[in-house]
Amino acid sequence: MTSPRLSRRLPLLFILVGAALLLCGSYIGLFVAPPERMMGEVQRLMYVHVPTAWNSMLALTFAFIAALAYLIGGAWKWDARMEAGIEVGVVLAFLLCVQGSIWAKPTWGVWWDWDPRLTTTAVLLLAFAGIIALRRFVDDPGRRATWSAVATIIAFADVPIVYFSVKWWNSLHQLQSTPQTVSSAFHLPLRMNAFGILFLMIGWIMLRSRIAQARLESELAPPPAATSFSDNAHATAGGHR
Amino acid sequence: MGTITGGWGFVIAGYALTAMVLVSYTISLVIRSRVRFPSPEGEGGAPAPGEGSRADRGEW
Repeated sequence: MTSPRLSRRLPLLFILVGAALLLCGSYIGLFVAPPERMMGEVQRLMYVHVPTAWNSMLALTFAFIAALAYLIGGAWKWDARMEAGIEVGVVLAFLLCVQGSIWAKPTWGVWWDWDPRLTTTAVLLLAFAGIIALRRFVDDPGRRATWSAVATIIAFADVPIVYFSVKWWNSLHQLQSTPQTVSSAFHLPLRMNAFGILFLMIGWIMLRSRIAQARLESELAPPPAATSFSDNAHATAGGHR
Repeated sequence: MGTITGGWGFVIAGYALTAMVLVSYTISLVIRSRVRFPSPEGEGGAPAPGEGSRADRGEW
C-alpha cells in the first residue's frame, strides 16, 4: 500500500524519470550515434519520431481498454482514465505528425503526402480529437462517458490499420522500425527515448486522470449514503446508461 | 547515391518542437491539476486541510 504522499507525487516522479531518459537518449542520438548512410544527419529525427509513434499508439490503446472497462464495469474511474488516455494520445499523435512532416521535407521533398501511413494517422488524430470535442459538448456525465467510450472503441479500429498500413499498401513511408529493421548502432538512443516517452506518458495519464476525476467528483453530487465513487458508477449515474 | 545535406536544421527544428510540446503539456497538466473544482457538497472552494478530494489524495 503506497502512502498518499508518495501516491500524490508518483506522476511527477514518472515525468522526471522520463525526462532524464529522454535527455540522455537524445544526447546519444544527436552526438554519439553515427549518421545513417543514406539519409545522413536528418535520420536523427528517428530517435524522437519513432518513440512518439509507439507511445501515442500505447496511450490510445490504454484509452480503448479504459473504454471497454467502463462499458463493462461502469466505474467512473475508467471514464477518467479514458479521457486521460485520449488526450495524451492526441497530443502525441499531433507531435508525431509534425515531426514526420519535418522529416518528410528533406527526404521526400514534400511536407505532407496522402500516403497510406500518413493518411491513416491523420484520420486517427482527427477521430480522437473529435472525441475530445464530443466530451466538451455533452454535459450529462453518464451520456458523455457512454458515448465517448463507444466512439473510442470505434476510433480504435484505426490503430492497427495505421500500424499495418506500410505492409498492406504501397507506401512512401518506411516499414516499422524495430530492432530487426534498425542498425544496432541506433538501438540505444531509440530504446532510451522510447522508455523516456513511455514514463512521461504514464505520468501524464496519471495526472490527467486526476484532473478528470476531480471534475467528475464536482459534477456528481453523491446521494445519501452513496457507495464508493470509483467502484459503482451505476449507483450514481441515475439511469443515464 | 549521396546523403542528404543540410539535415541539421531539420533535426534541430524537430527536437526543439518536441521539447516545446513535451514541456508545455507537462506544465499545463501541473497547472490544471492544481485547479480546485467546486466541492460535491455544493459549498464550493477548497476542501478542508487533510480532507482533499480523492484526486487530491493521489487516487487516480
